[in-house]
Amino acid sequence: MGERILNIFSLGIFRILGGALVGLGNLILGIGARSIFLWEVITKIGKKPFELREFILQLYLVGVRSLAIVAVSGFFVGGITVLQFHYALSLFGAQVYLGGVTTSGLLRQVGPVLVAIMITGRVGAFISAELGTMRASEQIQAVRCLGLDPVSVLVLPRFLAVVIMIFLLTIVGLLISLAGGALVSFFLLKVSISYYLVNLLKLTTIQAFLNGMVKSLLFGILIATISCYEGYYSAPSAEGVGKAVNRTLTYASISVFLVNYIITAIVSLTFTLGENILFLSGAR
Amino acid sequence: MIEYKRVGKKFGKQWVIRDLSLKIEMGEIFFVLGRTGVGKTVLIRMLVGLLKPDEGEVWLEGERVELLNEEQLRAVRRKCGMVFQLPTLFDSMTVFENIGFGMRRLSAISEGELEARVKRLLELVHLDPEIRGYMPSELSFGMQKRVSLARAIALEPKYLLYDEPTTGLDPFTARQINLLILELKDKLKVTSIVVSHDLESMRQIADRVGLLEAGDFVLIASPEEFEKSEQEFVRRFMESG
Amino acid sequence: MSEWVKKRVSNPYLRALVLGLLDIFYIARLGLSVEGIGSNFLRFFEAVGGIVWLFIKSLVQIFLPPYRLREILKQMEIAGWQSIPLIGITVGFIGLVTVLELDYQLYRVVGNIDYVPGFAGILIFREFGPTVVSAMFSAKVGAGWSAEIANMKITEQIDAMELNSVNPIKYLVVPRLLASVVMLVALSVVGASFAFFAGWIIARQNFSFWAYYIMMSKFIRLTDLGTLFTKALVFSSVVPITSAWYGFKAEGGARGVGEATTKSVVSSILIIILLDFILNTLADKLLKIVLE
Repeated sequence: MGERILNIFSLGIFRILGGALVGLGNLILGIGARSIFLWEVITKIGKKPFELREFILQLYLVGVRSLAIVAVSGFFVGGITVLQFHYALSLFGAQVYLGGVTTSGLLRQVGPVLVAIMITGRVGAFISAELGTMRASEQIQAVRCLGLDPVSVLVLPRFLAVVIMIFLLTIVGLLISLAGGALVSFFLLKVSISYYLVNLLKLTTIQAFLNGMVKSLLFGILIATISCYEGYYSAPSAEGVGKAVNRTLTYASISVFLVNYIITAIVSLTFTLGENILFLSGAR
Repeated sequence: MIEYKRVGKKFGKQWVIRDLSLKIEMGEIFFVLGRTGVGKTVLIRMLVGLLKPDEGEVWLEGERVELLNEEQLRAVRRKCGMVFQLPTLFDSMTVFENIGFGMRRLSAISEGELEARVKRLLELVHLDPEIRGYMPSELSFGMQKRVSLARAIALEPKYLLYDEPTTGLDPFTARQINLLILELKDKLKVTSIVVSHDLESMRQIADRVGLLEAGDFVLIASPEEFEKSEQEFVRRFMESG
Repeated sequence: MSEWVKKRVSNPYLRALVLGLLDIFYIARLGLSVEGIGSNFLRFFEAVGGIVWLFIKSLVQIFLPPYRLREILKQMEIAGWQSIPLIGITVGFIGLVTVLELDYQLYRVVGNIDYVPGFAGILIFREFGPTVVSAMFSAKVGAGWSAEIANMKITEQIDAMELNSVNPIKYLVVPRLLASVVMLVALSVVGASFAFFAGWIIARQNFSFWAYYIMMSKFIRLTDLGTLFTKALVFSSVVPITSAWYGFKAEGGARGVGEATTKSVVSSILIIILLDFILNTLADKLLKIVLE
């Protein structure tokens, strides 16, 4: 009797372990497949002929589609950040640092991640759907039959456009969110300009800006890879396209937050120590 | 020269093509006849490396196609023009850009020369050159098919592969497409393989016909011989159309 | 103009570049004209208006029979279960990052990290809990719903429903709306807790668990939890209604489904951000009024 219970119990354990291993295996395979795809796309960059026209068109499409959304969301998230930070800082009397902390926080964290998520939704999903529809209607096969490489011709222009545009749009989004934060603090919190600025320059360093830009570059590569991969390798059916879009949104979001954590952790381990020492010793 | 040597292809556990051998003569129109789903499309896709056979060899101009990798296949594919069953035009581009797609990237010609060539190709398929600014969605199905044909012949291939060219067309338009296939054979001196289940088309254009069933050709002969054949399956098939 | 360029510029790459720029300039001229920008804004407001109207109609439909409990439960399972992995992982990383970042910021500002748990708690419970969870919910579940409904629209199933005297709002929107409200509030609470524990993984370098907990609870009031609930409640109706609205408007085959999905996710997130901003502003004002 006891043996039977033990058997059933251990079966359950094995199933869970097995499931976890399979899940882990799938994860590694998945990451591997997309990394190989990324490598494939990168190696095609230098090759002639370069799809210049298509590339410029994609730059325009990606940029124009996302600009308004980045601007609006950036502005209001800047405002939200200021409101929350003001509340929190006032609880322990550090309101004077509002300008500095808000700016630093937006540049380093909130800005890049927000822009990445908005573009994932607007452009990432769109490109997956576009490439997926091309796969379903055999346009990708048609390109191959003409003796051309679909990755060079279709994927590469979109990939590069996404990476470049996320970088540029992050700059725009950061500026707008800073403006939004500042405006909200002036008009809603009735904080004076000098008050807002007093510690801003002291607390906001070039390092914060660089931090944000490096992140946005990485986010761009992540989002471009995932959305192009899911669309290009989607199942050739309407259902397949829907699933591909779903996967893009999910994987891209997770990747953005994951990479954000990794970068933050690395930065806080290495640079911050040095910078804090400089800061506290007054050398600025 | 095209040759299939004892070619076999299976999907899962099912052999769709088995031990099939075929030699295509230069300059002929070879008609692959057969029921829907019997594997006709599989046959021509193996020729351009879109599918790889599980057994046997596929020869094109002295090279074994099934052994080539993707990069090597590109050169092969430029020699074959493929017309898909559905027009499969690039729906985000104009007719002009569709037809000029391959030429623009693979040959170093000026924009002016490109325009002239596209114009000539549109005239070859009996379409008004004015439509080159239209988007595929603005064209009728028959016109889309002709544009995809123009795109296929743009790179001056020596072989043309037609996958169900007249399926889905009314008899009048189908006849026009068939006449076009004959015209291209004469004007461009190409070797054509036509895959279809349309008996009327077979009668109009085929030089030789192969009836595909159960993984292999039941009969390979001229259309006249097909009409007169005593074979059971062949007669039943011919009687249906 | 393009003819002139073609004749004058012989280098093909340069020519392609210039022609490309001309094309884009031409398109941009159309897109950025006053009508262009104006019409984009108008379309967004039109969308918001339509969404609000759909919301009102759905609210009415909730109270009319038949009450299809099984469908509601099924949607709840989809909404809840399916989004847990995504939300768990994203919120987890947010928790980690929040504490890391605040360590950095507060150390520079006040020289010590005593207040980090409190600050983190405020952000997690007042912001990240409801907002980020809702955004991820929209990306996963909302996208799925709008794809589903859009597919039904283009295969004319919605028309078929209406012809059979079935109200599509009652049949499709209401169960999803109710499921959202219940599930998203639950998910926000779960998400916030997740972030709380994730934050501790970083904070344990400097705090014991009890210290972490107590420092945080010193700064979080009951009103903050109330904020969490209120926001989640408000955001929860945004996702299903927006997804359904874009789904109902889909047209044009597979492409239309893709468009509907994309637009619904982006609009949902935008609306959530706007509402969040409004709620935050109002909360401050209300608090001022209460305190005076």
